[in-house]
Amino acid sequence: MFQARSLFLIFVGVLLPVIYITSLLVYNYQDNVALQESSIKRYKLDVEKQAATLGYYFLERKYDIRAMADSSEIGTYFENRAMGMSEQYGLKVSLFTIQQMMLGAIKNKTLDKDAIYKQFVFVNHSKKILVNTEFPLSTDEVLPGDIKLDGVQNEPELILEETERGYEILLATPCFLKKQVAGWIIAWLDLKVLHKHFMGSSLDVSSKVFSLTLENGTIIHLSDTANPNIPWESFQKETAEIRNLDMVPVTGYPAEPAHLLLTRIQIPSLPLFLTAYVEKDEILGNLGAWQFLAGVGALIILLVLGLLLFVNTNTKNLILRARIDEAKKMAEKAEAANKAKSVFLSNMSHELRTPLNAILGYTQFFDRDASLSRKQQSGIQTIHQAGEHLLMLINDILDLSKIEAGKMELVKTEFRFPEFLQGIVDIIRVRSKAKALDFFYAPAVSIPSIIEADELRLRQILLNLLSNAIKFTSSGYCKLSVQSRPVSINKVLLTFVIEDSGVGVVREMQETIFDPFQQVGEVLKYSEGSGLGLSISRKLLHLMDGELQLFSPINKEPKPGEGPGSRFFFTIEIPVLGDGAIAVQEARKVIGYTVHGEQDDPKKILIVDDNAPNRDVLCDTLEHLGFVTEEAKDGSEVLEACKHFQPDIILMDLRMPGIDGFTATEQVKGHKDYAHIPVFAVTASTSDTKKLKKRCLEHGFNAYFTKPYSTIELLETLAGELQLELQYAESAAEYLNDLEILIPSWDILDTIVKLAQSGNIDGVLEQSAVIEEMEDGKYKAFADHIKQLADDFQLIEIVRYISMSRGEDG
Amino acid sequence: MPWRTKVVAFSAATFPSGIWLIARSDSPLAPIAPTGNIDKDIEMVKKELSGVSVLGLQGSCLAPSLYGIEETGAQVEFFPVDRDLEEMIPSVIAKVADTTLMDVPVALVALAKWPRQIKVIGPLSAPQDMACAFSKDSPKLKQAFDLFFSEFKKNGQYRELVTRYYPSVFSYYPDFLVQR
Repeated sequence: MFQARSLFLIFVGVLLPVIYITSLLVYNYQDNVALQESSIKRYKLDVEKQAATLGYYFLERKYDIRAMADSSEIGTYFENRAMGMSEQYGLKVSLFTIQQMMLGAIKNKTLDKDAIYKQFVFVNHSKKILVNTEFPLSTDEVLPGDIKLDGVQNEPELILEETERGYEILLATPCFLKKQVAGWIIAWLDLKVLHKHFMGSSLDVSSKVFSLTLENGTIIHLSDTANPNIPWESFQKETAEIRNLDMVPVTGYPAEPAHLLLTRIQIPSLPLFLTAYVEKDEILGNLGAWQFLAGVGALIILLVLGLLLFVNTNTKNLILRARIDEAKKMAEKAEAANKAKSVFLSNMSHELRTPLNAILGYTQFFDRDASLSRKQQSGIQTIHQAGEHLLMLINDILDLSKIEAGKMELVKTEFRFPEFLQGIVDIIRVRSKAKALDFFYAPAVSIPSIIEADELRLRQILLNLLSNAIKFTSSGYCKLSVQSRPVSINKVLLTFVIEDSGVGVVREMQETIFDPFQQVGEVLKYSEGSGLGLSISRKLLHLMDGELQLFSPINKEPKPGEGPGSRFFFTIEIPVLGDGAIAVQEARKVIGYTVHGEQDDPKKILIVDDNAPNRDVLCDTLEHLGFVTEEAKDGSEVLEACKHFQPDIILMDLRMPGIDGFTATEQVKGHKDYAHIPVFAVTASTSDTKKLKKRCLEHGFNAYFTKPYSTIELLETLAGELQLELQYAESAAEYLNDLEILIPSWDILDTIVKLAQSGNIDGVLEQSAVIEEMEDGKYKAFADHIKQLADDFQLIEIVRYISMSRGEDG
Repeated sequence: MPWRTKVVAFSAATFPSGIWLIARSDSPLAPIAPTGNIDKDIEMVKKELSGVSVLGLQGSCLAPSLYGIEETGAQVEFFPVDRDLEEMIPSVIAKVADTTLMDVPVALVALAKWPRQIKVIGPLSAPQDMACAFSKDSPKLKQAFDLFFSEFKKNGQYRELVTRYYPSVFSYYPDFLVQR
């Protein structure tokens, strides 16, 4: 019993601790081994991460120079050169601009305020240096022969330049002109930046020494943490033989068994390798048993963290690449969606306008309902105004979308140009009068009679620009000038200039003003309108092969109340038609009428049109000639108007809401008291003119006019119907007086004639400027006309015009 | 121009210039290939002008009569004197005329402002110097100006101004602030 108990005590007291300690040592050893393996793994991950970071850095540098090669500055240089421009006469401006772009890149491309690039060079296909950020332009130098560019034909490539100071890392990319290589851009990377941020001692990595090597182990760059006493270049053979991330002990250094471990990994997408050097103890360590236990535990934690970080970084790179691809796809989708939107909108034209026309029609209908209260009528008017504004917005948006969708086609027709312009002038004159602005119309003396163009769109452009001029002018004037210059027997260049004394356009906005929805000036004050007029006008002019230009300010010293002003102008080439390509504009104007050669009671004209501006224009023109006018807003008011006004003739629009022109005319012709009254149809242009004309005549209309009509033709037809004799202006004086253009005194006219006869254009212009200021601008219209003729060098015309102004013949 | 020195006293040269012919980039006129001789280059440009409309500005250095444009058969158009000289190039872009005369510094700015829209056909004058003109009766005023301008160049302020408004002028006249 005593023996068994002793054996048991020996076993517990001695053997167990021995077994325990032995097992601890074994476990420690195993843990140590595991720890070393983890340490090596973590080290390799570090190196791999560093290589990935370097790869991403170089990838961004490639994007930089690719973007530079695709820039408009480079493109402009090649295009200017292709046009034949020489460096002596103008091409150097392009090179200067490229140099500025490159110097900007050196200054702005930084990593923590360290400039990434040292130098840029732009060479042509013969390797002649065109731009060098180190030197001024025009040095006639050629790129050194050791920089080989022949292999750089598609994408940016890395090039190594061997110099006395060692290797330089360059990136080169081709520049293309019509898909052919026309030159290269070369960038020198600053290795100090590369070293500081990716290979330096400040980095928190396990390896302390890095180098960039070629595949054959040649060192391109060594980090400055490298011990200068170690012959790093001698490890070239071992380095060349390393497979990715293998660890290789370096033998023979310094003279002891391996103290240094090497590993290397290729930098993604580059012919360079990142080689890392680490002391063996740094990785494998020399830990005691307890330190091993603690060390293994810490290493495992670090390993897990390192893995998470690596996975995270890798994932981030992948996410970033995916985001870039996604962004590109989204941009393509957005472009396609925008185009689809434009196509959709242009097809939706009818769907959008139809319900709105119904709303406008009913508001007009209820507007005439006398049973509604004042409040209700006010509400109806508000709805109508809002509806008209919405219609204007829809029309502008649909026009713009149609143009963007490529569905806008110009419809060219022949039309009378002087009458076309007069129609526009008549509308604008009414609007400018409403704002108490002066309006001047200065057509060239020789403008073509009949031209071929898209009349609707040309009118749209001119009305847009003139409406803007009025809208943005609170005091002063607006002016329309038209000049004509023949380019061949049947073509002219027409230049339209629209000027105003309004708010002007500041230089910063002079490009963006043509973008959709841009407005200048105070937004609340000038917010009427869609903001699309200029954008549409510009795009329409592009279709007409014209270019809308803006110049502002035009008045350096504006008069009190007036602004700096703006001038919009454009030129288009137009075919002319008719007898002789160019006809001198006739000064033949109707100034009144008589009945059988005697003055009689004024004739009464009833104007029926749902469009108020149209009624205003006709009333203005007819009352000026001595007619008495009355207005009716639609067909339902005609019979009542006939009853109390007893018109001599009716001018009837056809398309009106409610009772249209056809029905109203049937009612007039069917009424015993009014059947004798002649009715003229006055309607907007339509594609099926013949059919509509036939229908008008069948409904009892006496004549048919489509807008824009010739005023002379309308008046002459009216005179024929009412047996009137029209009176025409016989002299320029009478015509000018009829237009309210006042003439200064004869001695002033004599002075101008003498100046014109002696060819003194400057003198004529000076005299015009003096006349313009006389008596508070009383003779401004006359002075403007003289100035216009002088600008066109029409000295003979000046003399003729003045003699006609005095009533002299010829 | 020699005849002007008989009428006024010129200060030291203030700015270099010259006259070039500018056209739209789509114009059928082609830029000349420089010969290295300015007179020959001018002759080559003039030979292209028959039937071409050329915009000029009376009473300025862009007056066509100063360069014998009328004799070339060109169609001379006069830009309105009350409008800004800077509008002449946009007028060409807007097809008011085929070409325009323009002084070199403004042309250099325009080439950067309207890239790919205009091109230089070639020169119509030899290099010119611009300077301030003083009455022959005001030698002291001229002297004071010359003194001021010399200091203005020396302290670098003039170079700053030129670099701000005409940065590309040095690519054509690299020495004008050195020699003058």
